[in-house]
Amino acid sequence: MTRLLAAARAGESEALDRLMPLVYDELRGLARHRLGRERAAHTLRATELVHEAYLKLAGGGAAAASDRAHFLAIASRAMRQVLVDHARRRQAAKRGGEWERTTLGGGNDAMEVRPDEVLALDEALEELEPRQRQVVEYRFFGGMEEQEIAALLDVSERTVRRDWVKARAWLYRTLYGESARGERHTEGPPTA
Amino acid sequence: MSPERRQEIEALFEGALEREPAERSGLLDRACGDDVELRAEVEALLAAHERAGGVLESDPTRAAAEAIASSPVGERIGRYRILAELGRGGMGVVYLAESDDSTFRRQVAVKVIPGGPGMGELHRRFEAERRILASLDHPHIARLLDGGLTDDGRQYLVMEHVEGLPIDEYCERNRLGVDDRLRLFCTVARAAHHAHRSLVVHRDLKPSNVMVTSEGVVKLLDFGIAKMLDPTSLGHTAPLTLTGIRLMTPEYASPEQVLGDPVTTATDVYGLGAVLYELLTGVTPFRLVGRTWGECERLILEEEPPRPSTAVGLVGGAASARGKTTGDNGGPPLHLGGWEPTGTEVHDLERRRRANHLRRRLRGDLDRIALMALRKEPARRYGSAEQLAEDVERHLDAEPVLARGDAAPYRARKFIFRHRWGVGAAALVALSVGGGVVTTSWQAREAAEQATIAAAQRDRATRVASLMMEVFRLTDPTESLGDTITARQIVDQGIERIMAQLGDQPDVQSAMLLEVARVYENLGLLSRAEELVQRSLVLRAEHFGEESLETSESRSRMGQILAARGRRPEAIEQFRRSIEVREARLEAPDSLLAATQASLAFELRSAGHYDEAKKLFQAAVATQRGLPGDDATVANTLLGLAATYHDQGAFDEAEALFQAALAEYDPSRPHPMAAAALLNVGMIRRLREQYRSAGPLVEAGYEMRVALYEPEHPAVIEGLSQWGMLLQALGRLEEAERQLETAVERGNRKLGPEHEMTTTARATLAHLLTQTGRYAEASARLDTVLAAKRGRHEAGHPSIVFSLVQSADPHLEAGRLREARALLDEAMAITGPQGVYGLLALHGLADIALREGRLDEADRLLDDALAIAAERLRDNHRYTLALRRSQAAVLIERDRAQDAAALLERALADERAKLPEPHPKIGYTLLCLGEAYLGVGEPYRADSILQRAARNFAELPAAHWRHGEVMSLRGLALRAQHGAGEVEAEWLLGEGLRVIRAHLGPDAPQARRAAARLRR
Repeated sequence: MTRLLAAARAGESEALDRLMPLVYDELRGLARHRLGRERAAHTLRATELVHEAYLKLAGGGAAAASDRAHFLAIASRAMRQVLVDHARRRQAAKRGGEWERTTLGGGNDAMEVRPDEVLALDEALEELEPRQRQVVEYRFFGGMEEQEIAALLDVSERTVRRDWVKARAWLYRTLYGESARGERHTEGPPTA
Repeated sequence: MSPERRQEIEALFEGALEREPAERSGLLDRACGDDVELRAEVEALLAAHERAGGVLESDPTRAAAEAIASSPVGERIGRYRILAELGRGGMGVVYLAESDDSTFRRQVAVKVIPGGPGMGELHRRFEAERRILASLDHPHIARLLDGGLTDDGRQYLVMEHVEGLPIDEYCERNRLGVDDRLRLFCTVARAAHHAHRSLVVHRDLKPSNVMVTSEGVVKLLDFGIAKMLDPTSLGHTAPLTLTGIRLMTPEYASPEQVLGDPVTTATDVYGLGAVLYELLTGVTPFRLVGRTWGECERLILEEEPPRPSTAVGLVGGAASARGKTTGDNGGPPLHLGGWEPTGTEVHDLERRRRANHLRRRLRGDLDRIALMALRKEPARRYGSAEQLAEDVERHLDAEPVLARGDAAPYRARKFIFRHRWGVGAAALVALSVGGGVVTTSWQAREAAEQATIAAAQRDRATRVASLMMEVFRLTDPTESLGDTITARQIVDQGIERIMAQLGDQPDVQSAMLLEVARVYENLGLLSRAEELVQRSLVLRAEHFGEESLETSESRSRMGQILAARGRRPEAIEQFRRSIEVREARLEAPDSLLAATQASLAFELRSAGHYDEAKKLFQAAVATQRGLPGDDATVANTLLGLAATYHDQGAFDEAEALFQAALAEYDPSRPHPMAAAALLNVGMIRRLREQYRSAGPLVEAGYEMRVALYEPEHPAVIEGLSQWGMLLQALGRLEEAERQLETAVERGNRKLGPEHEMTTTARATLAHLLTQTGRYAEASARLDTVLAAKRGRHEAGHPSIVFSLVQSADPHLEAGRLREARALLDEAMAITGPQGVYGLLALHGLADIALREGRLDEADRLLDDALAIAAERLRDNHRYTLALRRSQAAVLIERDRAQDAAALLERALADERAKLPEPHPKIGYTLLCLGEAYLGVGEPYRADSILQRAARNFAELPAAHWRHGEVMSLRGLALRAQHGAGEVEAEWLLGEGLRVIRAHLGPDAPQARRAAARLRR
């Protein structure tokens, strides 16, 4: 695990490819466990989930702090992917027409964010400057603290905060901003 | 926006944020100056910032956690790891996945079929179907790659993953105009046609199953999948349930699917029509949302869809533009004219103008083309998807299209259509009552044909007879695909009553007899059929005269039944007399004459009179090509011609003709002709040694025949025999033996032990017994085959030569060289050292010389045989490869093991390309190769090759001498590896010798060689 992380950090994309499924599996296992225990409660936080996943995968806190931060980044990525997949699926189900429609999951809407918003967000993120995008990814999807993000990106906390503010304004404009552009976005992108 | 511009905006935005709101305006005044746009951007960002407070502050974790927890992403199905869910619907869930093989990662779509575990018979059919689909290979059809059962027993399919948009969305997004849409559509139709050629019907064509990639490449998804999901279509119960249709999207369902009638390629023509309709108008042919099932059914069965040009008008209107989404008011705008939506009233005006334009574009040709494809009666649509594509292309080229408006009054036709599924007994009852029903049907038919038949008024008797014939056809499995037992009951009960009613009209009565005989024939009741045809023959000869066309028809039919019963000389006699009369009496050859010529040709071919057979086949093809009729007829005749060339060893001509025959087929399924087509295509592939791709076709053809006929029907026996031969070729010996034994046993009982089909199956079974080492049994069977052939043919017939060579085989294998030589010498005396049979005889003699240590003679014989092979066979033909094996064995004897190894490695590569492992033939080559490497002095390599040989002999019984040979050679290999278990080496040598002696006796050459190794 630590070795994979090091390799991934060193830019070996193959290592990242092998890491992602591991992280994904772990996140899922944890999520299932936690949901089983506290079905009604809203206490599940991204931070906890991701950190817990890390602890389990890294086998205790022995690894370097940078590895941990790097892991969090990967986990954020995975979370974003999960949400986008989920949203896309819901969109597809909605657009599938009367005869193909099937309810997904239990039917009660657990999603706090609307699926079309998630998809629009996913698209809008790609238009951001890379570092702003990473900041949003780590903070929103990964639940990381500003100081963790700063360490990971090797910038000051202040820069992280400024990036966050700028990114949020851009995103808001793209998502809900004036004019016809917003309308287009609320329709959601096509199914892949 | 350029990065610099962006940075400029962001810098100002941040600067402004650091000030009090009141000061910001001044800052922006100074910084932006005249750049109004810059100022607007910054202000917009500031406004967004003010309102964005809560955004992105919610924690999406819970949703993500639930999403993760409920999704199987990361899990495995078979050897595929799920990456994401792509979609779900009535037909199951589709996942994006990637294969686990580390060498070759590719993304695929995995579809998990809903419902309980796949069980027994159903699963077997599912698998057979899957293998057919897997053989579909076309650039515009997404490939079916794999499939199987999940851990919890659900079926899954693995398909090529296509990234793209459904064709309708693709057209909208790229704002394609009418012409581009039509061109795209033609690609779709042609791809569908390709699949139809391979006997696969899609059954569920609709825009969401037609994807277009970002490069603009069309890919049809889920070809043939709908059938696999409909349990009733895989079994052979009457397809009267609505299970299949319930899985479908009713907007695209054809009338025959709604009725539960057989699905054919015409069903896909309908689906293509619906796709075309939607591409042109933006709406489906029928708008069914919110209707009850009954209403939908009525619309699909009875209402003509509005002409596309009229349907376009509906888009401009407010209500229900897009049929497939509920509560969607208006739907996405159409971009058919290539225009940009701009909003508000201007937009509406423009939209209306464009709609008018589009309406004019669609009126006429395109209206007619779409509606012709969407006709209710399958037979009245385009004959094939290709014809539909061609008509669209004619329109694009501004040539006149073939589609015509539907002139005949629709209401009247509807009766026939409904009547079609009333079927059988009920119709028979209605008929005997007579009256209104009969007349209605006939008026309708005449109207539909728009012919001048009305002028030549037929009398009532002929009408009644024709309709009765139709009733019988409906109960005939070739026509109605129904349950054969029911059909037989109807015929048995009906025949005598009909004979009594028509007793005073010999012309009608004799026609009826022939029709009923056909039904019996198709039920496999040949003696009963013969009886009826004989009655008709006598009646007609009395009534019309011996030289009449009517009598010649009965004779032709008589010949066919006699041929089916294996009474060849009598059959040939009847055919010849029938042809003689027809040629004298007809001005131009008709279809019956052609059919009779072809039937005669088939008999002559079997009798070895190839040249006359070829002439007759050619004449028949020429006639049949010029006449309207179904393609299958031409295809069958071409197959006969091809087979004749094949029998003569002219493989190139045969192959070209086989291809031509294939190109003629456009069969629908499940249908007797489709079964025949599958078996024929499978046979072609078997003859061309494409065993793996032949497998699914032959198996499916056999299954189809089992579903269509009674178990003892000759068609089933033939299917059994074909499937058995293929299994044998594939090295699946145990299964092959079961099939072939059943074929022989049923053939003996039903067709007689002398019948050609029976002897062929018996000869193949004997070959299999030889392979598995049961030489005495094999020889006993081959003796009867040879005797039957000597009885059937005059001396010196090629078929006898082949039988002699076959008979030598078990003796050769058992090392009984004297017996083998006698048979081969006789074969050689007849054929001489030429032709493929000559090659086989030479090869046998060469093997004898080799075993007896006369190496020069062996070389000479092999050279002669290889010269024939070079002239007549492909390089990798199994006969050629076997010759190379023998050649290598001679080289080993001459201590040229290195050359032998090179030769064998090449042969091995060729064999492995053709045959699945384990396969005994690959084992033979490996055995020889192991010996060669021993000679070269590479015992390690030899040992591992010999172990592989043993694995390829897995289907041979443990007591087979080849297992002994492997042990004996492995003993040598171990002995040569110094320090490697000497005890084991000696044991292997001894045990190998024991096995060989026990199987073949101590005097067999194989046993002597093994003994020599032990002593060495």
